[in-house]
Amino acid sequence: MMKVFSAQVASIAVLLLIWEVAARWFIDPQFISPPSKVFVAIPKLFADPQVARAVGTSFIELAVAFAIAVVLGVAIALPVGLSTLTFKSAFPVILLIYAIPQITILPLFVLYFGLGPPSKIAFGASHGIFPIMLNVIAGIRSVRPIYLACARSMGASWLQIVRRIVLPYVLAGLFAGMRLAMSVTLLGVMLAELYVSTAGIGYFTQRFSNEFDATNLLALITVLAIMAVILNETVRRLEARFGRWRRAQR
Amino acid sequence: MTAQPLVRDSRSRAIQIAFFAAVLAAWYAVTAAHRISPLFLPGPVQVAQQIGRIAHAPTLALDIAYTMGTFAIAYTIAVLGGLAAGYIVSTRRFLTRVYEPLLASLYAIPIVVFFPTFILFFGTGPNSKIALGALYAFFPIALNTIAGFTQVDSRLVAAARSMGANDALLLRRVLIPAAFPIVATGMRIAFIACFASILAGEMIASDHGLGHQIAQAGQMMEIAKMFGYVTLVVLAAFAFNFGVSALEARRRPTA
Repeated sequence: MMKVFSAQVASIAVLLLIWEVAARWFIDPQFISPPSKVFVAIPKLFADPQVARAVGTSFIELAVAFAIAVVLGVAIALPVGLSTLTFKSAFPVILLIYAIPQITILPLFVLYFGLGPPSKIAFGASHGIFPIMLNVIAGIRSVRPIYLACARSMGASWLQIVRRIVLPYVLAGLFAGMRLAMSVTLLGVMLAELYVSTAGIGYFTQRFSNEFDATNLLALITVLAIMAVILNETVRRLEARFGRWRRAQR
Repeated sequence: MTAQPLVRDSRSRAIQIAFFAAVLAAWYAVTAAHRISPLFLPGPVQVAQQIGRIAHAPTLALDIAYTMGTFAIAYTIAVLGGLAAGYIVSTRRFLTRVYEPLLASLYAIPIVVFFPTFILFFGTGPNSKIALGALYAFFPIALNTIAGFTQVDSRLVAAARSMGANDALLLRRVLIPAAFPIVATGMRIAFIACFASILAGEMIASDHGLGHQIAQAGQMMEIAKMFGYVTLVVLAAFAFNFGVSALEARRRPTA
């Protein structure tokens, strides 16, 4: 385990070293900046209250979009998953809508929700809702019929069946969906920010690249990337915790 | 999760058709009654007219060629790189344990945030989109290649070895056929991600291509025209999805 970890750290160190050498001696500093400068620039960049506010805005957008995706996704998935008729009717429709490349309708979101945060929230939520719906539906449909028959024959009430049998499957599906939803919601919010933005992260990435300010651009992006990895790891741990019983069962 | 047998169920099929008919009817009714400004939601007739106009415009073929050319280069790079990297990482247990989690973590980063640096580096031409599309497609292919090759039943490998198969024969006759379904899934996910990210790149910064046309029409408030282009792209995506599903359905009985 120790060996694996040190090899991972070493690989990252080698990558950073290549980046440092390339940026210092081989590539025009207008386009790329070495990691030593980028990491030094991060605290300075965040001392700027405008940048700090922009990052805050983007993360509030992400949080609201994610909450909407989870609540709406579960609200749609439950009725679709719980009955065979609704499942057979609605599931192919959901898959069909899911196949639309959503980026193409981004201008509509801007048109309907404006240039500010609401369009980013709506676009992010429209990405996150699909993994939630699909995984919760798959979770409900994977309940083994024999468990339901057993519980009923032993006199379980409807509420007991839902709480003791269906709910664990729903939760396992929900947490699996939440991990995927987190990364696509972030993608949706970032796409909308980059497409048009008046104050968020997208505004600053645009400004830094127009000014050929590679150091600040990379500093901002590095922070975003690290936050994305941390968020993903958090949701992955949650998923592992709530999905453990299901793997043990196989 | 197969959609095929579900669709054949006549009652749910009727509900699906009714659903789409209702959506279309509501769209027509709302726009025909002038309850919504055509700037917000153009009617289906207007959109159909625009599609006709787009189809006759000489720019359509150029835009399609531009976008598909960019896509083909990006996807080819991602397939070659992803298969090679994934296979190498899968050959040693140690490499898999080191690099699989690293690749999976990197995959969690929304790569599109790097797009401004790609524009700095490669300009607003096709190269910045190739970089974005190839990176987006690389990860699912590499990760699924690792998953595909590491999940091959070790008894199959042992059996082939005991019957005297060398490395090349083992790869061709055992490893590749066993890993193929998972690798193919990765390539399919990558195909969609690559196409969508190239459209995204064209929408954010480009002078040509289908994505550029959509963004341009949106910014000019020519919403009917934008709907027209969106419809064409969505139909292309459906056609592709349908084609792949049909291919997979044909493969399944023999597999």
